[in-house]
Amino acid sequence: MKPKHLFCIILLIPAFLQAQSGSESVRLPGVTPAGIRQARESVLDRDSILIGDQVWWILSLPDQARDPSFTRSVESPEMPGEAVEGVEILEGVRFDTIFHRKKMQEIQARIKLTSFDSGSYSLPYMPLFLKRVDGGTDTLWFKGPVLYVNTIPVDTTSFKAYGLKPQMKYPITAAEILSVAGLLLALAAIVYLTVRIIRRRRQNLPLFHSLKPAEPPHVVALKALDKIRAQQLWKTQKVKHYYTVLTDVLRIYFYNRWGIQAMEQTSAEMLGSLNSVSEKDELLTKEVITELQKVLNTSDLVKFAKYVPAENENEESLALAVKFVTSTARYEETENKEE
Amino acid sequence: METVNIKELNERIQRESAFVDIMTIEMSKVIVGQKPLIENLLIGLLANGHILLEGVPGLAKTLAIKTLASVVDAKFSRIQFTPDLLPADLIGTLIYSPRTEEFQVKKGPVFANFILADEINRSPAKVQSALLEAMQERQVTIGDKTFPLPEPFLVLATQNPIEQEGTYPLPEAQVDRFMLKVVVSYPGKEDEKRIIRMNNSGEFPTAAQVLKPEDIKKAREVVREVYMDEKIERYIVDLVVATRKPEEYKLANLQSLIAYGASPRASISLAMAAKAYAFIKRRGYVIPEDIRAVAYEVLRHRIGLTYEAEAENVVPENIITSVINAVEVP
Repeated sequence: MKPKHLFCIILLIPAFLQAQSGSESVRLPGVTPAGIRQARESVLDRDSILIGDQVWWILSLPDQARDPSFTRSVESPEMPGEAVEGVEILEGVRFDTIFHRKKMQEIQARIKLTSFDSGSYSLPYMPLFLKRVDGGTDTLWFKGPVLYVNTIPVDTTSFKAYGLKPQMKYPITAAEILSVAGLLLALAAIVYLTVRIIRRRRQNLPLFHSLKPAEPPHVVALKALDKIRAQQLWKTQKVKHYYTVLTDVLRIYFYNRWGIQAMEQTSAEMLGSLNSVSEKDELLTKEVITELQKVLNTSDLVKFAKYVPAENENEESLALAVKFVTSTARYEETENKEE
Repeated sequence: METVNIKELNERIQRESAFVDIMTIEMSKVIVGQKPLIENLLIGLLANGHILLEGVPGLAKTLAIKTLASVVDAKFSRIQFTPDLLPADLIGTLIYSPRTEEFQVKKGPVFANFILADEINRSPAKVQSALLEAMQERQVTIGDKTFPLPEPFLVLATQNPIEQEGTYPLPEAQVDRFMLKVVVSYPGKEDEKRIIRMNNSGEFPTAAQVLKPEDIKKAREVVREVYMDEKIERYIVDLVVATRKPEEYKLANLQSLIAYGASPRASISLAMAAKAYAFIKRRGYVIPEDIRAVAYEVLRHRIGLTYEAEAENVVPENIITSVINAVEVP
């Protein structure tokens, strides 16, 4: 073996050893305490804690760290979630300066830990990087102390089991009452509006405009018949139009009075509907229907068969229509409405 | 302006329509429990319109048509439509005569006054269209010669609404050529009892011949004269347009159910059928009741339904009912 090769092997041996030993004891990623010649002590602010308690791990930096002519900055490695298995790092490295009589005495690095499992934990070596002014970096290693985590002692002799505590009842605030009341009001408004929209649409009425109270069917019909009488259409050679208007008034009356869809019915169908309604309405007698049939027959003949009735026949048709309306009018309802 | 003396027309119709009652009585001897069918056959006969009869087997469809032909002294042909029927079997063909060394015309069964096209949907489209063309044109061309069909010429086709396998449904354009589509329903209980007795007695009644083809031609002329007011015409148009544009008649809910509405031919048929109906009722003028009486028969085969309508089990009759209930009567 040549001396040059031997020299290379000697150089590589420490690196190999370092790698081997590092793989055994590395707890924090990217750092290795192997080959450390000197490690500084570190302390916990308490040696033992109860489960779930929090504790500070304090690393005191050497005096050079305070010397601005020597140290530019101190940096910490990236912190993992756990220092060792079972000990969680709640807060990474926080640097703290200790003053005494307005003079900096010490720089400390603090790490907040906690544990939720009882036992003793040997904390790992912790590196800190001291960046020198001249550009170099010194790695400071700190020995990990031992953390004791205790459970809460339970006195089994005097232990008494208690049931689950009920949920705490807080007093109801005004804001809560107002918000619930507001929601209820909004809900009521929505329901009211929906019902109103549906009803108004069914009745074919506008949504918000309040209409005048509808006149009773017989009043509407009699007014329309009066208008026809005043116009005297049959005298102006408009007999067909006269009978069309006359039957339309009667059809509207049938609808308003009994709900018969008379506008879409033929004369025979209208008479059929009236006959079926007459069983429930004592005002709608057979005589009244027979007289109405006369009017409808005449109007059919005029409208569809070019029939030209005599003048007295035209007047009689109008009189029969008025008679039909007056004899079938329901006056009680009108009086009640007026009251 | 057209002047019509309704009183005179009414009297004339009273006279001319007297045969209707006799004819109805004669037909009712044979056809029991199918009064609407008889009435519709008369409407078709008087309005010069062809009729499509639809109904399950055994409802006396064929018997009704045969009886109608027997009541009128007219030539009657029955053609059973089968899948192997050819147009030549229907209208006729040219046959070579070795004796005269010429092609001679052999007229088909379509040359008759009354044609019963039994189960018309059993034959392929070419046969159907041959018949429907004859129905429309009222003439047939064989070789290079055109032959007019005899008058009166009435086609009464039947089809079965069930057993759709192996059938050729009539296309919409061809169905439109039938003035009426009559759906034949079951007779009532009492009528069915009468049918049993009639068939079991061994002496099946026959209808007497009471009319001649000339009487039909004359009656048709009178039917054409039945007065139809402009208001009635407007009502017919409203009914037909409502099947095309239902939204204009507050029937927007029907819009998605109707694929296509009734054609102008429907308006013509509705008017003619209503006139015939008024004639049967011995009236010289048409009233809205007449339109309503024939509306279902005239419109049911002329309204096309969408898939949505079919999925919702909507039938043309539902559409017609909605239209009738929505359109204002004059």
